Amino acid sequence: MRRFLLARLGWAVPVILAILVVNFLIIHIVPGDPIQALIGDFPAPPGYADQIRHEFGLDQPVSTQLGLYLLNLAKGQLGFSFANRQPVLGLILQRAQFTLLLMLPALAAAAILGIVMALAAAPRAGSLYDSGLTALSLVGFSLPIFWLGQLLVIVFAIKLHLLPAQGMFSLRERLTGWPYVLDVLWHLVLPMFSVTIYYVAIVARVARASVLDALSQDFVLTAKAKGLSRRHVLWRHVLPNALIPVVTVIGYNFGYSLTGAILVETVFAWPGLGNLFITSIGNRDYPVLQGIFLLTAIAVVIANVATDLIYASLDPRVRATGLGHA
Amino acid sequence: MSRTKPPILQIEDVRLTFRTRDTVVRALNGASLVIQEGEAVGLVGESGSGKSTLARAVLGLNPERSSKIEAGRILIAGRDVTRLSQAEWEHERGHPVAMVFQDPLSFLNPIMRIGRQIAESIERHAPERPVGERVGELLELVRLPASLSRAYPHELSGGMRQRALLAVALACEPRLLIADEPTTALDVTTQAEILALLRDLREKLGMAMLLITHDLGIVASACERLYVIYAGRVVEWGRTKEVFAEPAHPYTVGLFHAARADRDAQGRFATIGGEPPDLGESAQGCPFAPRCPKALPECVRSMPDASVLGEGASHAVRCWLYPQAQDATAAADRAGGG
Amino acid sequence: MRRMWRRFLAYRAGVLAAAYVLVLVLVAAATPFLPGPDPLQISNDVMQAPSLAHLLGTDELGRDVLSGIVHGVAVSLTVGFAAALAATVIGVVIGATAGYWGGLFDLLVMRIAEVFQVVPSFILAAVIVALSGPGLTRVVSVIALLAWPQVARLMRGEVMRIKGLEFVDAVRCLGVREPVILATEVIPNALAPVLAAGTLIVAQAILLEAALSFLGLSSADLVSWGRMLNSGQRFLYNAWWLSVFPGTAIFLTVLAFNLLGDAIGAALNPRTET
Repeated sequence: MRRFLLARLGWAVPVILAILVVNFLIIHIVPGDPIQALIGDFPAPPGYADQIRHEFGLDQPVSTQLGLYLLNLAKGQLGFSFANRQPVLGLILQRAQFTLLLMLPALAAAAILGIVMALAAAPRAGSLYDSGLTALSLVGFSLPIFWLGQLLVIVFAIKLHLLPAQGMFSLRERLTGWPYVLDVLWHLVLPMFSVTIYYVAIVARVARASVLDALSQDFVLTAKAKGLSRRHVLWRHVLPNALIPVVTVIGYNFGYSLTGAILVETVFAWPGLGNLFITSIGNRDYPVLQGIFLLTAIAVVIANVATDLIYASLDPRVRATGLGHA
Repeated sequence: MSRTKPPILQIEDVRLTFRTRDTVVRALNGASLVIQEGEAVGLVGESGSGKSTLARAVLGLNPERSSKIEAGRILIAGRDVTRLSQAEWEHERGHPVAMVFQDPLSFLNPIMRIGRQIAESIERHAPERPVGERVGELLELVRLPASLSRAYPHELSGGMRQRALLAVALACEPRLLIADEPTTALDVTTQAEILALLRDLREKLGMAMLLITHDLGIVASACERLYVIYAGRVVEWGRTKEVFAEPAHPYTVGLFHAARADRDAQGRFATIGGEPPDLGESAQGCPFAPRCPKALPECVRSMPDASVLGEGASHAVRCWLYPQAQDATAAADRAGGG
Repeated sequence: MRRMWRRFLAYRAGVLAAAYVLVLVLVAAATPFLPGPDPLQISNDVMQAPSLAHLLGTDELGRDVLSGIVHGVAVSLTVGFAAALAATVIGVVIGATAGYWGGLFDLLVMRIAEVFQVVPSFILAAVIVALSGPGLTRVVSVIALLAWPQVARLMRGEVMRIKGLEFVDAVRCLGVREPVILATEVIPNALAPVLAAGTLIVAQAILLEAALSFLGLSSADLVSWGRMLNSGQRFLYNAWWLSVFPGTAIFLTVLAFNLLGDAIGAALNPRTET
């Protein structure tokens, strides 16, 4: 297991380095002075530009610049957001909590829903229900998630007045304690549902295939021949084997669902990374945009490694060979 | 029929078809076979002859939706199991008939420890025994170290896996063990070990065995009687010694030639010419006729009844080359009785 | 070839999707000659609900939504086709080279492709467009930059498989030079799955462009479906038609290309049943 972990870290480190280099290159695609990318368009105090120019060695050769850039990142210096009057790193981490609050329950719901749907459909391969599931996942792939959010707002918030349309809590009254928590959950329903639908498409598609695959495996015959009940065979033999690919797909698509959450946030004014992202686009607050890319990319790499570890803990064959990442 | 105890397995003229949306495959076209308590019987045929389908039919393991037993009966210890539903089958499988399969790696659950896979059988069939202890006993019985109960299938060698699979089946405490090509995936030395183990186990546990194989050598060393199956039909049966001494059906003769790798006049190896028949159409005559070197005009018209050879009606063949018995049906009935 | 065609036809949803795409292409080609109001024409009919005068309503500046959707076809298809074409060409060239000759180049290229596939591509695209400024060419280049690894990986696998086949050895024995073998024997035989993947990239590209425009990362003087949803977002309470109709256009178009990609894949893959 330790060798496996080391192998995965050996994969992750160069990928993270490459992401840092990509981020460095982005600075230089701004038309005109790269200093713009490091400060943003928001009015900065006089002299700050010169200070940054010096810190990042912008008057020096590109290789030195890259070195200085990496050095600054290593110190946790992602720049300063003048629009928000705080350091970028803290700002992003603070907002990331709210994104996770939206994303993780949605992921969990999608995982459970997708697997249940696949289990219900797989033994009936080719049936109407089964083709319905296939069609549903295709629809899920094709829906612009932000539009889905808008539709849900129009139907459930505006026309039916069932659920709040925007924000994370009611602005009319100041709630504390349990009422506050319930209020937040109440506001969470629609955005979470949007992300869930988007994500269930992926999970159900893979889960259907892997349940079908597991059902046709020879060991199912052995389990049946022992005299085990159909239910026992399904829960103890088919499902654990079918779940392995599902878990990896959920993990490897962490970035995909993060993107989904970010887009949904802009529809629901959910105060997470997505909201920060869109206001920063409006403010031309470049350091924040780059910071969001950098941190989400690193989060995705970490999620990949974590997925590999979970995979290895579920499948004894992987632990032995150290294979991962198809 | 004079015995007090019914045979552990009795298959009477079973016809089984597989249907998909636009194809019909007649996998079994009149397969009959009898196994007495404690007896070792071989079922020999090429791949695609229907031998595995027959074995799976005994445990209701053929796909529920696409397969159907059209005619005939299957009796386990005198009890008719031909028309059981899948739910009813759940109570029948494992005891008194258990099964081991061909490829031990794919037939073991890759992510479950060996011990647990054996324990599941014990919990189902002998819940009164302390499970941990019993797992150890069974591993010892198949000559595996008890420590292997914590291993995963991929950590074992092919022979060890086959032993583990055997332990899973033995945990059901079967009176008949069906072994479907149990040694095909193994090298020659390991094959011999597994066959020796099977023989010892049979003696120790007094269990009957149906050994399915395409290898006549294995039958010779492990079985008292044998059945030859071709295109879903049992074409010849008898005591192993009798059939080996005088194989009667041209197909059986062909199998023996292929096994001994005889060369013909040009020095080529004699194998059975032609291809096994397409099981899509319902064949009228003997299915082997198109490949048969001695085919007669009547061979393509109809399938003959059994002809009894030798004494005691223990050796019989379904072939027009042999005179039809007066009371053919009686002969066929007696045929498996040994 | 005829069998492939028959398999494709058997995939009914794919045929329907192909017909829909064909209509879109015709609309896009005919855009400048179409009757009806200019989609950017401001009028006094502000925020009109769908009516006979304006079938799909008007926006906050009195612009006709139907006209906007019709003119948006060209933008979406241009971005989709151009990005998919660029990504496919880059992917084919790089993937084939890497797969055929292997070695250090292969290692390097595949590691780069891996980085691009791990990174959250929409966020990277949005950051690049936000920093470098909007514009169709930029959007197309960014999408192509992010999508080529899909094709490259596929192509590499196919080429590695095909170059080991007997007929390639036979051609090599005739003394044909390696680059010629690659171009005339190997690549043409590997193109089938690439075609399916390329069609799916069209769908991704249209979706990505819509998302960028939705975030406001497109020029305001260009009518695009995502841009319409961006303004619709501000008027969800009083003008549902501003988001419902453009969104439907995006959804149907992306769905059509996804279906088409799947159908092409199924038709070209001899192993799948229909």
